[in-house]
Amino acid sequence: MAATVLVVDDSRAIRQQVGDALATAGYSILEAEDGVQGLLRISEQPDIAMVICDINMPHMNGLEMLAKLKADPSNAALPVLMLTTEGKADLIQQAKRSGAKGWIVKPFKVDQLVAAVRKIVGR
Amino acid sequence: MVGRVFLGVWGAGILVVGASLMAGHVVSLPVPRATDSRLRASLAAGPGVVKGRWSAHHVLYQSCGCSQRVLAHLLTRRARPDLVETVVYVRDPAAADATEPATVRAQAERAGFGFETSTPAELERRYAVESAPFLLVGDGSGAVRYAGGYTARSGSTQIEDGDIIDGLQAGRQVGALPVFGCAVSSRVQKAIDPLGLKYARGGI
Amino acid sequence: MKRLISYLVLPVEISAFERQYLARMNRIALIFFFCHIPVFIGVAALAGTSPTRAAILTLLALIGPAVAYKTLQNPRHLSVVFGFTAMCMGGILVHIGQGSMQIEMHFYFFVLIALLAVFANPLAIVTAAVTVALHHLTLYLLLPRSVFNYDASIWAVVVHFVFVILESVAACFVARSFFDNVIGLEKIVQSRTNALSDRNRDMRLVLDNVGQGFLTIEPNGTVSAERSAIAARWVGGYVPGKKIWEHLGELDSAGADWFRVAWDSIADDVLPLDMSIDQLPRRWTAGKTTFSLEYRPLIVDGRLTQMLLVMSDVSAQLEREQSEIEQRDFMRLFQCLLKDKKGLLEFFSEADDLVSKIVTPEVTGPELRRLVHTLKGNCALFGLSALAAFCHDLESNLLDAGGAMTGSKREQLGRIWGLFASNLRSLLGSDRADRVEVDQTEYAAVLDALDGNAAREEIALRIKTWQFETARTRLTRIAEQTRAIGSRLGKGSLNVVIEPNDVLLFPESWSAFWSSFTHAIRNAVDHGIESPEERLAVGKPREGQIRLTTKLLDDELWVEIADDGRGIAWNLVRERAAAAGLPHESREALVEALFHDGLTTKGEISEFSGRGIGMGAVRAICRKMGGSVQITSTEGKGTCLSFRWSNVHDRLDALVLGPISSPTIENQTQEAEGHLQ
Repeated sequence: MAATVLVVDDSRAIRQQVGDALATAGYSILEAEDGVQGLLRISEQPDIAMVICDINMPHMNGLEMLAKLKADPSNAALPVLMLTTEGKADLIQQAKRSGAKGWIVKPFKVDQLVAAVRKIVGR
Repeated sequence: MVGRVFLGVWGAGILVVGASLMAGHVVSLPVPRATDSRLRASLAAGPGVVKGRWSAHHVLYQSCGCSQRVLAHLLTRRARPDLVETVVYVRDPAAADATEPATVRAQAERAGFGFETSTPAELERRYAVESAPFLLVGDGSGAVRYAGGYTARSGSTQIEDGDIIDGLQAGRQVGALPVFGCAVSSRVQKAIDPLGLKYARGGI
Repeated sequence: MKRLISYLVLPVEISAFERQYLARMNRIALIFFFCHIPVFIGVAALAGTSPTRAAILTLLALIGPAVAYKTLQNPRHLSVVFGFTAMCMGGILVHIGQGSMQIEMHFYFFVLIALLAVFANPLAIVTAAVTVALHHLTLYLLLPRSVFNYDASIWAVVVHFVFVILESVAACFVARSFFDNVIGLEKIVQSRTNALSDRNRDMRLVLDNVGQGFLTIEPNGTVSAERSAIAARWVGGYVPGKKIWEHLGELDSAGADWFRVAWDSIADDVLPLDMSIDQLPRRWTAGKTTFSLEYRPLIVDGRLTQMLLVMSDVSAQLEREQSEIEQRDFMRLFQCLLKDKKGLLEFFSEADDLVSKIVTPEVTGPELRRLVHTLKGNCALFGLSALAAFCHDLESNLLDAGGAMTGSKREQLGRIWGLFASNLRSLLGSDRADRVEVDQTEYAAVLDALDGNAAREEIALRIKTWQFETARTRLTRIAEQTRAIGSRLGKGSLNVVIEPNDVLLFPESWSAFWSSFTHAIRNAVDHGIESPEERLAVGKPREGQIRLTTKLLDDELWVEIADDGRGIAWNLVRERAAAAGLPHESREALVEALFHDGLTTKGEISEFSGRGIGMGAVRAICRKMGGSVQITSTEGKGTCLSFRWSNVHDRLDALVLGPISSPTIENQTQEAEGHLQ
């Protein structure tokens, strides 16, 4: 059974890129375009293995989503990887405080991201 | 540079001093020949001589360590009954203790020895002896049977007077042991100790 | 014999180790011999010899070594003096120890000769042996033969002597071996250490003269002491425990936090190591200097033990690159000016307009993005790489940051544009764009018409059209740009056909349209035309063909761009539209989706397209001008994009002009007469 990865990003291009790459690597993909949708997807499908989440999104940004997500103790073990632009140390620290597992800087190489997912999720 | 010169002088000095001191241990002292007239004369007559009986004269010098050792040995073994033994105690004119010969006399006589005091000059005159400890053995006929030292080696603790006398009495020819000990006469003293280290002549 | 001497006599050089060692030994020896005083006094007392004399003799013997200790510089010489002293002491001991122990006292000599080996100097032992011999010799020389008899004791002396020789030889061997192997060993170690520090110094020299800064960083971020000289200059000297981000923070405080966070992610070990390392900053600025940072992990048994940071001062290099780019741009500008001055000037005025809009703080969101995208495309077409690159970055930032421009970015754009503008002005000199260029034939034709008395209105109209741009010129220019794009995208040399059909267009009205028309060109070349290999594979001619058409027909102006490429993949569009939540049932809906902002069927974002903005932009302008767009496409055959404006007659900005109307009968006759004559 393939692990499910949720990709939350308001940029369609990024969702497509990341989604395709992970799908090729054998993961099953869910997408959301902002924090609200992201939380919705997670509530709909509880056995998500990992979340890749942009910080800058409309309606509800990544940090807010992360905070709401981790407020629920059943999500404590869910690894969340934040996507961000370079130089935003305070955002990253905030993310880590809120329980993010790690973070990736944009632009990134898609195959590196796949390797990271593989390392975190396994398989 | 000065240091080196000093060290050189010191080294040489020590060597000479050491050699002088060593002489006393290493060298055997002069001994009168058995045929010496004075010796014969002293054995013909004089204190400690009894016609027809073997005699032994133990010449001991007051300030001589070796003589003291021999003395101690004699006192321990006590005089032999088969001969007449006399301690000839030569006094050291420079010795501090003038009463000492009296003590020794008492000890010697208690041990059965005859006791005579003498001086270095007298010793030489009468016995032609200039060193101590010196053993003189006569067989009662006036002949000098033994004139020599007590030990085979310098500093040896093995005082062989007993063996010597036994050997002589048994008719053996016993070679005279060298005298290791102290020079008594001033002549020998000067010769052996030119620096006057051991035989203090108002020196050290 | 020489060998013996060299064996016994030590080599002249005294190493520091030997000196130290001998100093200790000599001190111990001095104390040892001084301790003899009470011992000898005791012995004398026990043996019944004079203790006073013992003390005096011992002190006498100690004068030498005491003086030597204070005055001799060479410690080996002092050891030799001790050799002599030892024998003297032995002599004294024998002298005072006379009696029952006298023989045994001689043991002292043999013990001391052996002990003398401790000085690691055969000469000390030789001295002792010689002393003993001299001692006996002196005695022999001093005492008169006549008085004394030596025979009895001579053999004892000989035996003593043999033992002394034996032991001295052995002790010399021990002493020399000690010297060679222990003290010598230390010399070897010393020379190795020296060689090592020489090598270190050489390495240091190399590092110090290398232009790059090398720093070693521990996994916890502290910087090790080893660094090349230049690194020390850039980053400061060694401070134990100081972290790399603290060092770098002194150069540029803003990035220090980021560095720390990035470094921590390595320790977190969430991402693969090479990815975490990739996220560390690659550039670091300190005032005017820019450093490049490279990271080399040192991995032992799969764990990171240290990180080597290589810093290079790339300021000069960057400046050079920057000025190269600027020069190249300037060259290109110049070339453009020579080839197509009008086009360049047009581009300039348009771009100027775009820039002024972009830097307006009120302009945000999709509008802003569109403007930036257009500017970027145009700059790219004219080969202004610096500006195009800036726009590209700007676009990415806009997408990320939610569509607004920061003040600093606005300022930056203004600056770059200002530089370009001044370059252009310097090239143009006093040239202004408010001139009219007329080519020779047109000029001659109008003169002829004047001579031939053609109607004033016609001539006036004709002259007015001089301000118009022929579609031919425009399309030629576009064709060139198209070919340029084609080669840049690896589509080979495109076959671009133009059909201007004598259309004339008033530049000012149409420039905005032409400007965004470039999107359509880019799309056609990028998406439509296949690579030469693909084309050959499906039986098409190797070069892709693009046809640019303008025509005025029945009061309708058409502008078309047609390609013979792969056509639009409608099902892909359907997919994407569906994914984006757009209506996707009918063909019209799909066409609509195609023009929607943000939709792209392209996998990656390239410099040219992929953001999904272009088509929407061009349609927007077209509509603003009162036109409409049509797409016809056949999969595998090609696509045609048609822009249409109606009621051209009312527009006054598009014309078709034939030759000047035929002259009047009078004129014709006159002309004919002229000919006949």
